[in-house]
Amino acid sequence: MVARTGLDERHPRWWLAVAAGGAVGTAMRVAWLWWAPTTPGAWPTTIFLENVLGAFLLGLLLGRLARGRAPSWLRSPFFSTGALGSFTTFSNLAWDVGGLSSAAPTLAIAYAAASLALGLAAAATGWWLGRWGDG
Amino acid sequence: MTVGTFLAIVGAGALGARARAAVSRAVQARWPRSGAGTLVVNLLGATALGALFGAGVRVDGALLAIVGMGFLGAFTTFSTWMVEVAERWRAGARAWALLEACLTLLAGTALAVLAAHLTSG
Repeated sequence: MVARTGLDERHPRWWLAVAAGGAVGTAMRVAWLWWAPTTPGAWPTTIFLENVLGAFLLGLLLGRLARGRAPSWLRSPFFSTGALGSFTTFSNLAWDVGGLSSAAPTLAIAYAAASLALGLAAAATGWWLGRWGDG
Repeated sequence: MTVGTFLAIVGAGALGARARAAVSRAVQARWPRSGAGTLVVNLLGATALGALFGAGVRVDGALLAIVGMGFLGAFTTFSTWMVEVAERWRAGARAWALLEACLTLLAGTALAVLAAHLTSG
């Protein structure tokens, strides 16, 4: 979990790292969306891939940190809470499921279920790979 | 999208991430159960995005992108949520972890739709 990254959040630099990471994560999410825009009423492929990829990378990072042998700079909340937290989004997912539910209910349920199933699998696989090598 | 709009979205994303950390930590301090902070920011953010998009017809497109994609996109998070659900899954409460995740997404969707309905009228 993000709370275990070890830095002291009472320090202003902790918050600065979160904000800087948030800028980078948002820039990547929006640039990808701009490059591959989604059509209203269709499967939101870009947000879907961003969310699953972000869940995998955060699982990998936190698994690595939990292993205790990660380099200290990786412990910065810049990467976890900031960049990977902001690269993915819940609000857009919820909004898209709501938007699809009136026009294409089956698609809405499939999108919600696939996001949950693959997101969970990605986070768990990332964590497992991050901790890989433990005795 | 102009460069200025993109930079404004990125700046709003920085503020959104910082606000997420602040709200999530405050909630977690009061209610130390795993995932409480993430639950609150995600439901708040989904409601706000619904309200914003509901009012969207009367709001400038660039502002919609800056607040919606920038601030609220970064204020809410999918990755942290999934890692926390996976953590509860590993802890052994598998059925509960799955049920909670489904209910969270259902609640977020319902709140977004309801908020949009209220602000579009």
